[in-house]
Formats: sequence, structure tokens, C-alpha cells
Amino acid sequence: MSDLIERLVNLALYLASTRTPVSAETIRAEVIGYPDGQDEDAFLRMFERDKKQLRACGLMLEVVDLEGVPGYRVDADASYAGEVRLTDAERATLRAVAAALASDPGFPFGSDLAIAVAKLGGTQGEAGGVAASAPGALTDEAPDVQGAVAAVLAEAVASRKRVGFGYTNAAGETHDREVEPYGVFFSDGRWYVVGRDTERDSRRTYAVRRMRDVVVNPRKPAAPDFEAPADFSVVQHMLLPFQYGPDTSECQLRFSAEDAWRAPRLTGGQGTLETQPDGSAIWRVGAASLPRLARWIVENGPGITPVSPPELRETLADGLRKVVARHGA
Amino acid sequence: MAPKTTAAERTRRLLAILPALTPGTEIPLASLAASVGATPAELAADITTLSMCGVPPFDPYDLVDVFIDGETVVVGMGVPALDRAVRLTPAEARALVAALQTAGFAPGDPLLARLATVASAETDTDALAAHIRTAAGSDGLGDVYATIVAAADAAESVVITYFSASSGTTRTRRIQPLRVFNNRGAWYVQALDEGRAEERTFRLDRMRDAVATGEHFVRVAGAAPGATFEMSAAGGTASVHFDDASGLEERDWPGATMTRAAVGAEAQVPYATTGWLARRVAAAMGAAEVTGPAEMRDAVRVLAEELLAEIDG
Repeated sequence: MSDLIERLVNLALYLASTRTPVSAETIRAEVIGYPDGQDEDAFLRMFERDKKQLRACGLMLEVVDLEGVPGYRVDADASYAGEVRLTDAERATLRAVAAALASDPGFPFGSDLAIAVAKLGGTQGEAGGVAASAPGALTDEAPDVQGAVAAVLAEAVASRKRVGFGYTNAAGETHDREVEPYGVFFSDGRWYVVGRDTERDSRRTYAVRRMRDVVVNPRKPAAPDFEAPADFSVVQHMLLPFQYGPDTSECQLRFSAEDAWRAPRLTGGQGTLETQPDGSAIWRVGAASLPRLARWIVENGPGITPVSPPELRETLADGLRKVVARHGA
Repeated sequence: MAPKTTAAERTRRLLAILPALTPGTEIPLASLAASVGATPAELAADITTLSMCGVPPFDPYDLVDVFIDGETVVVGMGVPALDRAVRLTPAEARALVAALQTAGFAPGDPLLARLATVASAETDTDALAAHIRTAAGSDGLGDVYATIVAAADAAESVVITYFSASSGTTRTRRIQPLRVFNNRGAWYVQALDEGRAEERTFRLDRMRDAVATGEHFVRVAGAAPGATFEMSAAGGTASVHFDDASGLEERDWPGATMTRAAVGAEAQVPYATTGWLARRVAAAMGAAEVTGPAEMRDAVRVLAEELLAEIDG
């Protein structure tokens, strides 16, 4: 393996140090690591693989005509990053998220995160690290599995490849599914994928922890299987607990003036918030289950009261009366 | 067992650290390894490989002048090329965006916009925003996060405006942030509450704002390197009966011991103060009951009565 790494680093350093384009033959002659006596076709295949590897590192090559043969050089604009001026707080932020998530098995992009932060100036050589946390708590259920599967799904989203998997629903029934994945999201310690279920021809959300044997369509790996809808936004599928269900009715809730600042964080981008002259905020949101919305109000209160429909207020009041009755003296 | 790191991955991290190899410096091996997500042993092997790399004609002066001395990476002359940062690949940009989203940096945040300028041209930031989300509803949270972690780094006290889920009130507190940690996607800071002279855990998304005071505190030597979420039983342990256990998830009752019956469930739930648990039980809308102690039953009843009064206006 060291030989391969040496060759790739030598190639990167050579191409970065040359100011003029160089041919593949020149590279073969100058860069240590290409085997002596290797036939032309084998060398060219190896060189193509090496170019692809450098691209995966962020080093982009441009090809120019060199008296009838391809000449290669580093595309400086495409490869080199300009300086990003970061404040101390922003550097601390990068250090903290990297320290907590880069080695957390529940975070699907750990190694990419570490490299990204290193490229941005890194975390070493500074006094930081005090804010770093013990990793491993992003997901509390099978973090290794969830992180690995979410990584596969995120890649399938990016490359627009269909995925198949076995799925066990909340009722304990297991079925095979095939999905065109449009997006992945994370909520409350769990990863989810949103996409079109090809058999049911409808958009569905699947919990990663309920999946088994996830397989990305292996046919034509470089060719997308589908196009995601242009207006797709995964955040629209990050529903609150009371929004799951077929029939949704619009509800209005009021956040008191004292608690209105909490509204944008609690409402998760769902519905619309309108600040009132007295500082309170009215939240208009669709709910599929009034009892679940009533629970949500209690869990996230105080300072949140139902405005409409009247059935919501009745559901909440009935539930609270039961609580009082069960906890009477 | 951790998956074996590929040659491509090792090459990527070597190229990523090249700009950090400032001529004439000594860098702690552990620190440099951590910066690229490698163990010290892995990075030591990579550095040894790197020391054999260079540019033609591969004379000693053309090689990367770096070696390991004990626990230190010693850098001699400058690297012969690639001494400036390479752009983020689409996968690296995705990782950065996903990580920063958890900390409250939503799409459109100025920090994300600046970081996007160093991503490769293949990176579609609009697509990232549309197709990957690790948090929602993070209004203003990025500023809070940055203030808290910077203050923790600098050992600086912070004044926070904090909503206590236990008391249901929002008050200002002055804290000495020690370390942050993540639990199920939510960020917490373990800090000394100066007013109470006690260590407490605060959830960052319950901070309306956080303002650094500019006043520094002295860190206690030997503090634990990390922190985890643990439910304190300082207030006691409540016995809770659930009528229906079908939708009950133990993860939603931190620290609880649960016994499931044919229909319902019984749980022993630790609590620090009565407020949080009372709210959770009340949210069951009569489908759960605290059977003891009496102070916890009273807390549930009083809370429900207060909420009834609140909705009756």
C-alpha cells in the first residue's frame, strides 16, 4: 500500500511543481512509482486510476493539447482554495464539531469532515480542544449501522441511484422496498431517507434503523437512475410528531410574548409564524393528530396555547382534566 | 473492528496536511493525527511514507523534509510543492455542511456561504441544502454555539438567557463553559453556574442568546476530557405507570428502568427537579400516572391545573 501512496503523492507533488503541461510519458519517466517495463496500456490504465484518486483528494487536472498528445497540469483555479478568514469563534466552532462528530460512528461523513476541517486550517497547533466532546452520542441506537447506512444513502442521493432494502414497519411487518432516494435527514438521534417508492409510486420517508440489506443499484454506476423533483426540499419532510397521518387540518397556536423567541426553534420550519404587535407569535401549522398536537403543547410549554380549531382546545383540556383526576389527592 | 483505511484515503489526508507542515516547526503527532481523523500510529506510518516522497530528481533536497521524533512531527525545509490548501471536494463540503447544521448553521448562514467559496466547482450548495439536513429550526443557534465553544476554548465566562424546561421560565445566568457535547443531535454545554456555584448541563437550543463577558476563569486541572448526558437523581426516583406501552420508548425517559407488562408498563424514573418529569407525565394526557412519591404526584397535578388555567385565559 505504501508504494501506491508514494506514487500518488509523488504524482501530486510533481504536477503541482510543474508550470507547463506534461505528457503522460514524461510523467511516467519523471515520477517515481510507475513500474519499469510496464506495457503502455497497463501504464495508461494505472495513470487514469491515479488521476481519479487525485481528483478525489481535490486536486483537479486540466488537459491541454501538447503537440498532438494530451498534456496535463494542475488546474490551479479549480484545485487551490483561497484564504477563508475565520474569526476565533468560527475556528472554535469548526474544532468543536469536528472533535465531536468526526469519529462518531453515527455521523456518516466523519473522515470527510476531518479532512475538510484540516484543509480549512485544521485543529492542531492551537490552544483549542477544551470544548471538544467525547464522541459517540449522535445516535443512541446502533450508531455504527445507522451511520454506515446513512452514508450509503447520502451517496445514492448524490449519484441519483435507486436503492433496495428490507423494511420493518412499526407494526413489525417486513417488506422489500425499492426507492429513488431524494434526500436524507437526521432528527432526534435517527437518520431517515425520503424518496419515491417505485412500487407504490409515492413519496415516502423511511427510518434507517428499520432497514436491512441496503443495496444500491449496481447497474451502470456512473449513470443516474432518476431525476429528483426540482422543487424537492428534504426539510419539508422533517415533520413534527403530530404531522404524520393522511388527513391534515390547519391549527393555530399562540406563543406568549415571553416565549415567542423559542417558536422558530421549536417549530422546525413547519407552518408559518407571525409576530403580533404585543410580541406574541401566532403559529399556523398543519396537524394530522390533534391529541398528538395537544401532547406537543404540554411537552414544550409553558407559554403555548391553542387558538383554533375549538376541537384542539377541547382535546387539550380533556386530557389535562384526566391528568388532574388521576393525580388527585 | 474499525474498517481498514484505503490507500486513497491515506493519500487524501497526507495531501490535506501538507500546508500545515510549516518549515522549521515541531508539531505534536497526536494533535496532527487528530486533525485528520487518524490515530497517532496511523499518521506516523503516513509521515514515514511522506518522507520518501518528493519531486524529480528526487535528491535529498527534493524530498519532503519531515520525520517523527518520539511524539513529535519535525518539519525541516518546506514541502517542494502543494504548500497551499486544496479545495474541498463535494463529499468534504457535504460533511462540513451536515456537521455545521447540527450546530445551528442553517443553509444561507454567512459562515456556510464563506466556506462554500473554497469548495470545488462540482459542489452544488443549493442541492446540499435541499437534500441533506441534520437539523431544522435552528434560528440564531449558530451564534450561540460559536460564542459558547469560543468561550470554552478561551476560559471566558458567558452570560446566557436560558429557558429552563424544569421551571418553564427564561432567566439570565452567568456560566463558565467547560465543554460541549452532543446527544441525539442536541448540543449541550457542561458549565459551572456561577450563581449556584455548581456544575450544570445546559442545552444550547434553549439559550435565547449568549454573550461573552471578557472575564476569564481558571480551569480546574484534571477535568474529564468529555461529557455525556446523564439524568441526575438528585430529586429522587418516581414510580410511573403507563396504561399502554405500545408506543413507549425507553430512550425518551433517560435513566429510567422499565418493566413492560401485557398491556402497560411500570417505570422507575430518576429526576433532579420535579418540573421536567411532571411535564412529561402530563403530556401523556392521562394515559400515565405517577404512583409515587407524593411530591411528584402533586407536581403533575399542579402543572395540569396551571395549564388548564392558561388555556382558559
